[in-house]
Amino acid sequence: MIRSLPILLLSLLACTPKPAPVVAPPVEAPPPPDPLDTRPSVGPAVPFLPPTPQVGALANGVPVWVLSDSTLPVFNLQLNVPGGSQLDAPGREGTAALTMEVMRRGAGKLDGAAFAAEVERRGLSIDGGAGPDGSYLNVVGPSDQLGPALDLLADMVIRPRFDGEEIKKSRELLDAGLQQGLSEPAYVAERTAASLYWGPTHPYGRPPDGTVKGLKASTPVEVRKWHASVWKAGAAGASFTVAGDVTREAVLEQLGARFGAWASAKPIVVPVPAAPVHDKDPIYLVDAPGSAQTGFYVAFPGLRDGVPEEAPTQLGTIVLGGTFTSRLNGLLREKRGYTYGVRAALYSQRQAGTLTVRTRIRADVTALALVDLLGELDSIRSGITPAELAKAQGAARQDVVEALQTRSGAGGTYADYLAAGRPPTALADELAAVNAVGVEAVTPAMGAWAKERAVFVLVGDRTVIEPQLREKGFTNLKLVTPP
Amino acid sequence: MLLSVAAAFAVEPKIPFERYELPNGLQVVLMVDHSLPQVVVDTWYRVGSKDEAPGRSGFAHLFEHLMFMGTFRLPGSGFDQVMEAEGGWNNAWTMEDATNYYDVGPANLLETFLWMEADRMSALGKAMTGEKLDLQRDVVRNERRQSNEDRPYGMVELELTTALFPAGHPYAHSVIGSHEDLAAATVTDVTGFFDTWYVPNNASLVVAGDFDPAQARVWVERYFGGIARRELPARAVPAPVQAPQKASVTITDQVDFPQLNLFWHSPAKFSSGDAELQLVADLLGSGESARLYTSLVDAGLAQEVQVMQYGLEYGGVFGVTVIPMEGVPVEKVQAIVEGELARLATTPPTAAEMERLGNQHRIGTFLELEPLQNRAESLNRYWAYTGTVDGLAADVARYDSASPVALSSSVSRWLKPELATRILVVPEGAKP
Repeated sequence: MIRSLPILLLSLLACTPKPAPVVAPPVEAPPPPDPLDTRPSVGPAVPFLPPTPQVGALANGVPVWVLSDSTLPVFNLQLNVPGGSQLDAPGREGTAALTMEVMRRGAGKLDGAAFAAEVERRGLSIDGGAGPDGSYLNVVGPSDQLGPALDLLADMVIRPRFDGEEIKKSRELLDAGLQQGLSEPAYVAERTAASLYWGPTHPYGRPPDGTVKGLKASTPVEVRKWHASVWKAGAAGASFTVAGDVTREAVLEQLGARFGAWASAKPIVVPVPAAPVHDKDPIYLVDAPGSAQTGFYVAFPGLRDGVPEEAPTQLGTIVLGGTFTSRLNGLLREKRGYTYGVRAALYSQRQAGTLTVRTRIRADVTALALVDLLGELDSIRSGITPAELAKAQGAARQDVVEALQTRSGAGGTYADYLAAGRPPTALADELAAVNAVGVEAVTPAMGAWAKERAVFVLVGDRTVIEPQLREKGFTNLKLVTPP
Repeated sequence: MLLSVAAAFAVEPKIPFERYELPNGLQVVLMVDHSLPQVVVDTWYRVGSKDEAPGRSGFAHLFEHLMFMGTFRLPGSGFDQVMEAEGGWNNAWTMEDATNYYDVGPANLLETFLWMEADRMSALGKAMTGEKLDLQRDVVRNERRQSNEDRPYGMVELELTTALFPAGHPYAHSVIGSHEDLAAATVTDVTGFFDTWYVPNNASLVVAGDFDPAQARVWVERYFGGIARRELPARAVPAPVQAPQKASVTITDQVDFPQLNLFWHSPAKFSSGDAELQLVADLLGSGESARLYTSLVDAGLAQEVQVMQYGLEYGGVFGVTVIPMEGVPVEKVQAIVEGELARLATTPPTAAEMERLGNQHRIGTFLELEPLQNRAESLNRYWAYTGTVDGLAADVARYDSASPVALSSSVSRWLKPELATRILVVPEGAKP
């Protein structure tokens, strides 16, 4: 506007030899600039260092980490022990899950109903479970109920009742839940992929929540035996993590009174064999007649927990399918409209892990989506851009921040590190390792994602998806039934 | 009165904040929490599926998806790209009464979040195209397949709306909508909806987390201050409904077990009886000492029982859902549910039950307030339903003051057997 005004005046003068008095038209003030037209710059990131828990130990050596936070009058306690579903005997898949279920159905002087009533009367909740590598119990409650909560927890761990009727009831409930789950395409895909990837008898290939047959076959004697080996004498290898409105001293005193003399056998170590090598496996199909969508589950060879390749692989996985703008979600959801969402994730377990991709695709475009997916899996092996790396690092940091905003998130995060034998600085160390990764480190990490080594499971209506797959050249197909 | 065994619960839950209103009607709430280096911007628009035109079911939710499809200042997927490039993320959801958008990320993204929210509040409609609409239409239809059609028992919530509410009632259709209506939506519908409802005087903005409130005020004024308010259309408040439209509906599904659902009309959110029926739902179905858990699951007759009170602006829905054990007749399970309700209608809960309910509810409130985003959202929810963001104390008080007799009275008033609609899901191939 300023540059053009003098030019206009000169031209007017040149065209008017006898200038007459001219009344200049009112000049409208230019509208103020719209602040929305300028995108603000992003300031420097605020430094963030995750907290280091306070450390202690009980008289019998059981380590305890405490994260004190008095902003709300609640606590979260997690007790981890080694030994999980990998200890289920062959044909008894589900013994671990059944044992964990019955442990909270009566303990000490309280039968099942009285135990539940006492827990709930005090505003507490207690849950637990068994994964392949280990088992856990988790307690949440008002902070001044820590003592009574530990009384109940100690009874579950050391003095469960295992009443026959409760075992029967628990088995029926787990069995019904399992059968319900087998109607869920995503659940079916995950179980089937684990069994096919690891092998049906591998400790990681057997479903942690059991099989219908295994649950039925697990006897009360086996339940008691599983509990005795994992929990009753489980102090060696056990660990406590407490987060919330508690002090280290109070936690150690209260835990010491209930668990200081907890018996200690040798820590359970179950060797986990390597996964079988997959080489151009068929695409496995699970028939789900009438499904409007096809469930995809892809399992690649992954990593052991805590190895140096974990950070670059984690970041590459985020770029592939860990956020909304990830390559896979951008293509399959936002560009193609084939799906509601796609997720890639890295599951690092104690002794081996997997990289997985999961999605639900509209049934009529199953083969097209598979072509796209394979293309992206190839592409990520060539590496990522610096902008993608920065995005993944930001997402990883934000994940940690958000985990720490709840007692259960903080407690669970640190409990996993403690159970894995990592130091109290593990979270900060891991975040520093993520921040130190350069793009050059991601390429070899993601280069390991050879699709020939992966297991692909598709759960959908066979009559709809099989012709499409064959037409697109996917002829190596194998129909399987879920475990 | 709810009593507590836990002295820790003498602490009243609190959310400190400051609130003001821009001249264009935008409600602004600043809630500072420096405990972690993150911020949340939570924007609540008072428009939901109840405001959809006839033949456009699912439109409010479809529109929510389109809010991420770019403006002329930030085209394409810029909204997500810019946010995620710095470690932030976002999401949104739509319900019958409202649509909620939230941005979460590191504290240094706050100004960017505010700019992006203001940009789309001011200009989303101008950049709408048929291509964007078609793409998100596909995504939403996939969401419907994933969340309802291919999910075991997922069609119940779609049947519920017409079984309970009369045709023409704002809640007589589902939030996700029908495929036909989704397919019929046009770009003109989108721009019209945007111009009508996405105005500052129909929105509330909560800024939460690690920030300087004085600086935040400057940014809010700078980016939102110039967006013009517009007159909102008058909404016709529907007449209260207490009787269902259908006494019974049977649907088939690819499941192994039947599922019994009983639904009733119930009080609107925050209205008289809402808290009491929420406590009734907890008394019957929350935890392993709950009445229906004991009489059905613990007794070996059912594998699962769920009870809920879902209060909305123009009324609510109370529901009981039971999956019987294999071989247990649905009628037997239904008789037990009706028996428990009849008992509760005449005999108030015991003191021990009230104590359990009090403790469970109080700890649930505390745990709900842990995540920053939950706190931000709850302030917006209070504003939307009660007219004030400062609603936490009153919300807590209505549960604390609920009496055993009031719980019984709410059951006898609202949950009469003849006022229930039954939706029965039977496995494909089984006899209904």
